[in-house]
Amino acid sequence: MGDTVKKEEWPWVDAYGDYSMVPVPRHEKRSFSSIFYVYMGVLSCIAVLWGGGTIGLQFALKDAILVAVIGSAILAVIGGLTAPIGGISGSSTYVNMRFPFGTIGSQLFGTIVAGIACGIGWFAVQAWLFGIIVHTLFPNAAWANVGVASIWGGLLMIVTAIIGFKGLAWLSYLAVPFFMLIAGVGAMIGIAQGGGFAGLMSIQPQQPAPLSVGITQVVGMYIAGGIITSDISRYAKRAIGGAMGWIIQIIIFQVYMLTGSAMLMLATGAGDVAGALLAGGAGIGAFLMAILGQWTTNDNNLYNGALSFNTWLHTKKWHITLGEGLIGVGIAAWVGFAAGVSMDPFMKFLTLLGKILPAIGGVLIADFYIFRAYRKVPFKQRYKGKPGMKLARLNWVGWLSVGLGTWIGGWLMKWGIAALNGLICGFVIYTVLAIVLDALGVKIEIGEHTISEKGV
Amino acid sequence: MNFKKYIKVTMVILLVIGVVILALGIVKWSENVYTGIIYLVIGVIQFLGSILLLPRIAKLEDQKEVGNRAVQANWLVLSIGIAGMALFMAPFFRLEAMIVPYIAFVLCVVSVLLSGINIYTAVKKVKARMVV
Repeated sequence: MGDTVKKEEWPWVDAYGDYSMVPVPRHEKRSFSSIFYVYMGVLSCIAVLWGGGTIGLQFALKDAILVAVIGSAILAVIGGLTAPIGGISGSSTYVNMRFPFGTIGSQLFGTIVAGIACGIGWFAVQAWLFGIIVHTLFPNAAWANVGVASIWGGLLMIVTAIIGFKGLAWLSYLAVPFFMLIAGVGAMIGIAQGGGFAGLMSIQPQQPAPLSVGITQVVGMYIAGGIITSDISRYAKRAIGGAMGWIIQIIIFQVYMLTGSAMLMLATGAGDVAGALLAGGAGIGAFLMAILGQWTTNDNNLYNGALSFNTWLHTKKWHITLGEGLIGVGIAAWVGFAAGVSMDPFMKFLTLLGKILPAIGGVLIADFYIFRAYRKVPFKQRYKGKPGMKLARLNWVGWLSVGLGTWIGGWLMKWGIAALNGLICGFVIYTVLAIVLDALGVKIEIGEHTISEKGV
Repeated sequence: MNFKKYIKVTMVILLVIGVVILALGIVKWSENVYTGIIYLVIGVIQFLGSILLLPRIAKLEDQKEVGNRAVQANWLVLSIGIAGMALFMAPFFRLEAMIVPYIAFVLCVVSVLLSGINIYTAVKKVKARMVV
């Protein structure tokens, strides 16, 4: 009887694995702690410590804390709005994107947001960063050459991503408490070397910058993660669980990690976090931090990327994970062998990311919370798909809003926080255009696509 | 020994290890406040990770559910134990007398082994989920 009820409630076929194209069934939902740990696993990465280190080089400690708190609060709001979308629909970000962008739009924008940016771009950058850190720690070892380390590190990351959500969770359980502790050790080394907390507070930064620059860096660093929270929150037993998991990890733990590494860099003035930790006496902890930190983050990048590619590449998800992983490893190794120890590709990538992605998030939030409310769709029924359901091929207002939002927020506006500007512009433009045009009877959705039981 | 009793006994051992690391942290505090804080953090997490499980499984009859909760607690102890192993022998923690870091290191080795065995036993013996 129980099985019959389940089949009646869940009329899908998970043809591609890990519920990539269909809603996660109730019996596969996970506890708040699992969701929280996986989010923490994404956060626990060298890039966040590196971001904190960059802040430490630009701001005095008081301002560094302010920058971390404001930037994290903005990210908490963004992720706090996107996470419940996955919690309610049970579907990934890219499946949800069918509603504001149409099926073609979800494939295109999903591929840009997660496939190219996370699954290949971020994955390659993080694998390359991994190579740099291992090389910094062991400069004379052949296996620690930037390119070589990028390859073996990248392959490690591919393994847990192929296992799927369970793989991400196992690794996060193991790595997250460790990573939090090493960030604390970094802070302690910073305070010790800075001559105590009072001494650290009095240190002036080497390259002072306005607060807005720091906030932009914090928001830009992780806004992609804030937009694609549904990829994890779809597994949450309760919709609010995903949002709470995201908010707590950002507000408490991101601030903690950014501040900890900022203290370390402020006190030591070193060029990189791993090197500063090693010089400060963290020993093998610095090496484990490099491995576990990059691993927990980068397997998530691949995981998210594979979910998005699955919207138009209809094959087993692990095939896609392996394919995009190998491309990413190839890029990382190439950059590693060609560029060696250089931060430029990483910084350029972050800058570009901050401009392209936020408008997509803004449109998604506007469609779910405002436009669906305007159309009087009950909150818990929004973005709920079912086999046989008809969806638009293309929502041209969604496309236009992303284009305008990105252009105005990312390039035209010369003030404020670029990433946030893009998100707000996308949100406002979509809300106004969609409601006004709908009220005027103008068709904003073009074409029709019927969802199969496989979710495609 | 049934599974629930086994988990209770091992968690009490882990709890005692947490208390000893806490005590070492207090000793260290007077020598070097910065390393002392890390000892205390590791000790507190080990202690809380172990002690909080006991009331959570006290009234449970379902062995699998006991296993699920034990897996959660032991992941935390395992991770913190690995962190302790990596850190206590690091140069930052070896600024003063070596006896305290050595003791803490050995305690962390024990907690890593015990929590690892607990996770394995829970999964093998009562079919607990490794991801709860």
